[in-house]
Amino acid sequence: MNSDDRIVRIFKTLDQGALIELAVIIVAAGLLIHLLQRLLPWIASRLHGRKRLHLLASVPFVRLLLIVTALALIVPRLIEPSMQNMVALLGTVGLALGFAFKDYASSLIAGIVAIGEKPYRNGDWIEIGGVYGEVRHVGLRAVEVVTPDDTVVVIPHGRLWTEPVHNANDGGPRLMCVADFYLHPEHDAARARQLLWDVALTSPYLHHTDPVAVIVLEKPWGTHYRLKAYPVDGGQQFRFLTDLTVRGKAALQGMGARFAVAPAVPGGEE
Amino acid sequence: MDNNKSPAPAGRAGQQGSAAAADLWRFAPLTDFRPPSPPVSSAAGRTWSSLTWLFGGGGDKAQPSVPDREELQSLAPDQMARLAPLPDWSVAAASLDHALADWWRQDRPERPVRFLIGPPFSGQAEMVHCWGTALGATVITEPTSEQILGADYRWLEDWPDTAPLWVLPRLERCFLRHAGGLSLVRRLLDRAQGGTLGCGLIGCDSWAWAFLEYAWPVVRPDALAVQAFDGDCLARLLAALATPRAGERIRFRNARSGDDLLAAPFAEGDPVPSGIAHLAAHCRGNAGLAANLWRRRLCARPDGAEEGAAHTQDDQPAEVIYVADTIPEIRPSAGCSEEEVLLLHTLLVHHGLAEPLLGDLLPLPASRTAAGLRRLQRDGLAELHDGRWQVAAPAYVAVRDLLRGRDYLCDAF
Repeated sequence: MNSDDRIVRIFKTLDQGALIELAVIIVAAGLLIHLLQRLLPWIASRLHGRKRLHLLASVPFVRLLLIVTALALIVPRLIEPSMQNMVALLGTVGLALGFAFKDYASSLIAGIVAIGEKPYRNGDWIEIGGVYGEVRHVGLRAVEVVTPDDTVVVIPHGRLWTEPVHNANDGGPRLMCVADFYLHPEHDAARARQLLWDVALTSPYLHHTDPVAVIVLEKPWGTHYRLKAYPVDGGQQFRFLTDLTVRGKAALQGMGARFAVAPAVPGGEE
Repeated sequence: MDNNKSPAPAGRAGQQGSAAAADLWRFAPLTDFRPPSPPVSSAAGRTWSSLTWLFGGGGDKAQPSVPDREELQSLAPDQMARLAPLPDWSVAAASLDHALADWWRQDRPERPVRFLIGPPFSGQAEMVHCWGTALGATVITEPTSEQILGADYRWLEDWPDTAPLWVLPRLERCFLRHAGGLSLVRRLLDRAQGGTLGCGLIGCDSWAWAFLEYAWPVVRPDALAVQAFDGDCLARLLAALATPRAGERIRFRNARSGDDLLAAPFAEGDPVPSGIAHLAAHCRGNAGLAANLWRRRLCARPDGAEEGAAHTQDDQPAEVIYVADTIPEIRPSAGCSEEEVLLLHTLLVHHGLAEPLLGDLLPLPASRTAAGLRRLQRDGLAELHDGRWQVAAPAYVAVRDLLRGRDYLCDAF
């Protein structure tokens, strides 16, 4: 028996009815996916906090479910669903993908892993490979991140295998913000700490039930204050940080503290 | 503390036609506050209304559900004053005195200071004021905003140290949500708690209290609150507030269905009307807010309806007053902007603020603040009273829901 005969035996003969069924399944699945990818984010946009994030996070999962269901309906219409046929088909497809579309296949598999392990979900604020932004869309092959500068960055899921993923809110509505202040060492540190604590407490963006902390570090050039707090919503992080910085500077100047001035050193962080 | 304390407030319940009105005001620890459960139909209606607001009719403008005023005639001011005056807070103060009697009559109270907390429109400041004046206590004037922001401790140094008892009705006006606006209130509360200011009662708005619990995290389980009015208590209160004409009862009648909502005087055995239970639940048991909204619903008979006088079943003549079918409520739009949300929250935390101060407390330019306030005023969400912007009574419940839904700090009421 030659290979052509084997292939003929694996695949069913498609009559007009079967072709219509296949077309209906594919079109219906495509329409449903299209509809859900618009409807769920629209509903989520009317919600806030955890409800919004949970709904957004469900989009890739529902899409995967629809794709698997569509495949489960399509495959028995194309081939005889015996173990031998399935192994032969999957083996052939796997080989083809492995050689011709290795990276693509890797990202597809990583996409399925991403839906299961949830290293990022829609609405999360993540950093991968130096790109920080909000996850807008978790696709089959890649994740779309919108940076604070309103640039869409498409990152293949395959990066999951090799790079760490920094997730600031991990599915929750809030994330920690840190405002840094650098003061000349000669000042009343206890008062500065209290003032900065009050700056966070009185911010209109503050989420009060999460903790506020002021970390003080003495450096050779002065004193480094790190004011840590959570805004009500992750989307407010930059307005929150700006508010903390502006009011923190004013409050520190009001108590007579001087800011540390260090000469700029190329490549130096602090 | 000496023993020459003045007698308790006399209680002017009689002026409202019923001594029983005083019994309606009950005070208990803040932690015991439980809002009344809404009737099932009311809860379902509210859920449906929230869903339609969220996904459908929210639009970009606030949604008023006030009755069509063209179909109804407003009551004349003298009629309003007779039929639905705001609660007489001195009656509530008499009940407050019972709740506090064991405390302030002690020679050396174990707790030198007590707190009365209440939500907006609940009248806790007026109660504290009435209670204090009836006892001859010194009523403390709040510091100015300059004194607060400048941490001017002279305000505390000038505290009347000879007074055996003092009251501070509005603690919410002793701080500002600003990095420099907390020192004075912390010093005040530390001194009050330590007993160096003598014996006093402090009234505080619930939103300000929720914020101060973070700024001054001293556990005060003994803080008092007016207990929530359920439908029965509210019906009795509203009936007690109305003054019938000689020989008549007043029948408050639904302007749309014609069903009786409430009769005054309230007779023992009268069923609690579901409309009043609905109102009590809508206001989360806040009697002052409920009375405020009740006033806005009253109207003269619609055109073509029966005459304004009728007879009760026992043939007693009755004055018929019509009540708009729906509770006046103004909802912020579902897409309410962040600026508007920040403005509303700031107004609630301070129980109203002057416009120039908002510029100090919010990270918004003055022009944006002014524009935001005008938008809130246009939509009926905020009002200007005595130079202070406040959340409007018909909008309060919806604004609270909005802030709670967006995870902003909310009160316990």
